[in-house]
Amino acid sequence: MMKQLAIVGVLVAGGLAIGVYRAKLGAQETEARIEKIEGEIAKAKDDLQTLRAEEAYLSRPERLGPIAHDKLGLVPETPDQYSAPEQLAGRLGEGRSYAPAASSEGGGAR
Amino acid sequence: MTAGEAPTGDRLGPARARIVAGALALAFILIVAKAASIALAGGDKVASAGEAVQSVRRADIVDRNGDLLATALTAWSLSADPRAIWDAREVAEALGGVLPEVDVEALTTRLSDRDRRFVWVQRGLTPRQKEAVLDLGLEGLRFEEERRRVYPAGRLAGHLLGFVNIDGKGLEGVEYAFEDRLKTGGEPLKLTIDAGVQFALEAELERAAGEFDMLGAAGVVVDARTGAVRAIASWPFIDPNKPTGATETERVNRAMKSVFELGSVYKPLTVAAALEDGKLSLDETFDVSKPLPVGNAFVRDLHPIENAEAATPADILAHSSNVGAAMIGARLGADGERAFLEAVGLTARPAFEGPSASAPLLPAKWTDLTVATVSYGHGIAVTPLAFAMSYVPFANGGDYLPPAILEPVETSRIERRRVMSRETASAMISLLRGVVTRGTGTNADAPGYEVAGKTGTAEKPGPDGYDANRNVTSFAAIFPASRPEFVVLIVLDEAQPKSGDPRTAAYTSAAIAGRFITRAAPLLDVKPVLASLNAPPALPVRAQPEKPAERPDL
Repeated sequence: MMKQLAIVGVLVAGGLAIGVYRAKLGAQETEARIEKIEGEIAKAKDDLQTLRAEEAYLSRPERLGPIAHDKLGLVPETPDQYSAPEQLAGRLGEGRSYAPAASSEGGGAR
Repeated sequence: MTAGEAPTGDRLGPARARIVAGALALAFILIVAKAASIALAGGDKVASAGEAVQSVRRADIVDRNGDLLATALTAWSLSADPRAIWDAREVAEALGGVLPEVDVEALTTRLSDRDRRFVWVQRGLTPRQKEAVLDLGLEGLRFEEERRRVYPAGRLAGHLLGFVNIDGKGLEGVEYAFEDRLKTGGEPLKLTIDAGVQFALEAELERAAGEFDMLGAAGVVVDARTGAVRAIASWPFIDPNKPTGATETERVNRAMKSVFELGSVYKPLTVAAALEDGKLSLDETFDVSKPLPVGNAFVRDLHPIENAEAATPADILAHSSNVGAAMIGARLGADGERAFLEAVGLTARPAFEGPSASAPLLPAKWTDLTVATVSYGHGIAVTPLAFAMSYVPFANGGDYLPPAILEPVETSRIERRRVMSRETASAMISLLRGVVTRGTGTNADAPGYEVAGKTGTAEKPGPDGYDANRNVTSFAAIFPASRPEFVVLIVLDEAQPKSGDPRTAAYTSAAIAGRFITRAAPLLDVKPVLASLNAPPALPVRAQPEKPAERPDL
């Protein structure tokens, strides 16, 4: 009886030991995966931050101003580009103070 | 074995079986307990290597539109173990080939010291530099991951932002003032400045440096409705990416740390104080044709004043009469003058959340002569930031506001201080507009933006008294006059036009202010006043300009 009990005990203990080992192994693997993903997230954040810094560097006004002027002919706006609403009527003709609307029959502003 | 002895195995068998069973039971209990512990508690926590390496990223600094001004990027520091290096010179020369900042001779010496186990080679390496070093395949080197502070816009707002040391600790400017907030990471620190306006201001100051021989310059732009500083600059500029390479003069933040006697830009404050106290009316006239005796000295105007025998307050400001300002100052007296300057923040260090600004230099005693000189801006020295804030009440209907450099600026939480009535503020705007349309400030005119303002030309004090050959020229502006929104102050230190024009504010700082306003108004979302576009242009500045000598004739 004792012998059988001992054998059963050994088997149960062995089974439990294997179960615990597998559980621990699984936990370690999961932790390693989490760590890897966290590392990837951190690297992605680093890369994003680097890209933001590069974007800020490339879009600084001292660089964009000359490019906008040389490549696109853009210049800062000036006050004489503004008109009062009452002056618009004269510019658009026929007393209209608004641009012609787009229409399916053509001829309008689109 | 003798007869009659029981076999040993038989006698010990049950006991052995009980011992084995007991041991098994104990092992079983331990395993079950551990399994239960793991199941319930999740097992021992293993520290993540990633956590050990990751440090808190210093918070970004952005402008009011979210444009990045300062950030922290991952970088690497390279160290070496001299005992693990066989040929120190070979390693140093190889590193010098990919890291130009490395001093090969000095590094060779340090790597040859076998008593040391650790020497820094270079800190703050970029990912590319790290790869280049790894490609060398050298022995005895080690990389440490760290954060490197980067200012992508270069020198833009360099003095305001400040900089950090090699360990990422703030040493100057915003980096120092908000060290506790920045070092804990989190959301970006949003400033009130607008990078576009800041760039326009710096570009105009740099342009001034091309047109004038000058020691330095400062500029401030303030939203008069909230006190928010939209731009603040000091020339020569500093690049916070390379603070150690900056010269002493580049390190000086003239907008916040230097104090100047600013001259006639104080005259509007004198007039406003007298109007507010009921000691002056706008239709009064003063005879400013003769020097004014004050104690044992004389205050005089060294340039012609129109209507000198019957000059109104408008004439006194438009033509910048020292005599007229001194007469009005005398009506205020020491207490009245000092109280008003205190009300507009000129007698104490500006109090606000941000980098500290310098305290003003005030007269030790307020004698009659002091009152006279202070009335036209001598004998008192303040920072450009503090002075720009003193014009804010003119522009917003009479409230002094402390400067703000941190968003959000909540209107309900602004600590307003009523310093003059709406009527006085409105009258002052009209008088200041007159300075630009018919007085010393015509070069500051910006068509469509109705600039109102005042010139200031002050001699600099030296060891032998005031020096007639060294001026600080300034222009304090408010625009647009019919619906004031912004205050602009331009201060130039010893600006001498290369064109041969006089070195007065009319020809130096006023012109810079006008150009800046034309350029920055659209960026500040100020729409032009169309009615003013059809008005006749401001008269050109007169041929005989305001002379710089604004000190009393002692």
